[in-house]
Amino acid sequence: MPFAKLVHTNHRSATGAQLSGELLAEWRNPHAESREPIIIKDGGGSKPVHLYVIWSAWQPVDQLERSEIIMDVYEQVAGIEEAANVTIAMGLTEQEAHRLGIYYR
Amino acid sequence: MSMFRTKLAAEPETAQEFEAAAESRYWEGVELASAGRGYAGACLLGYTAEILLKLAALRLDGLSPATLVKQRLPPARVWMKKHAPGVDAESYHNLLFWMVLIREKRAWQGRPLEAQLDAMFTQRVRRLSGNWWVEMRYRQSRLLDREIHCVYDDVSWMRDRYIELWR
Repeated sequence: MPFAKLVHTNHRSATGAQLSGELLAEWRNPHAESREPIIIKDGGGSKPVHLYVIWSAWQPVDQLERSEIIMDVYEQVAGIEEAANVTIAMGLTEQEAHRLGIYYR
Repeated sequence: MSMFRTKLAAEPETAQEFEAAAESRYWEGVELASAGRGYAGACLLGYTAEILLKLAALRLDGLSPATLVKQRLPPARVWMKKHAPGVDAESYHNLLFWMVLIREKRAWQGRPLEAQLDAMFTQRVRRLSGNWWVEMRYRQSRLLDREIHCVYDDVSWMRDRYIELWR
């Protein structure tokens, strides 16, 4: 009888899992022609890092899962050392960002 | 038709709402426990501790009253993965996770808790964690009177010392 090791995975909704893959691909290889997701990294150096991902595709995903997705993707892209400097990981639709007074250009 | 959940979800919770909720859960817990509903009271008192520990930990990163809270939880998990791996967040309900985070982060920031406060803090959270667990909400059981008293005592201590944990 063969033995196997249990693989621990993050529990994502189907939409969340799809968005996670798309965000990872975009972060690793940004497409100049795509309008979204807009990835904003604020801070760094001696300051804590704040990550914002503005994306209309977030709509059906709850706030906590959005944040989990951003952190998981950022950890894969930047590594645990960098990811540990993040204090805010916020996923917002454009409308939500404007409501919260988060502006970008 | 306005539904309560839809209404709440439309307004993500801020730190000040968390603080107000902690205060409400505390007094609701005290009222239930003193009315002989010890298990329900202890459940709510435990939530008070969970909220206060979460807030204290996030305050160390500069969380201000009007700031949204949820978007800071996954970064806290990743920070712990680097600095204190092996302490499971248990979907951010684990009191020990938040206790370790507060102590580790303060040490990392070069301002550890004063020794006596640190000892009491550790002792209280460990004991509370032995008497309260978020999974209690799914269980049909009873707590002994002395266990209820310990929960009340530990949560009241945390409520009294909350500011000292992050200031």
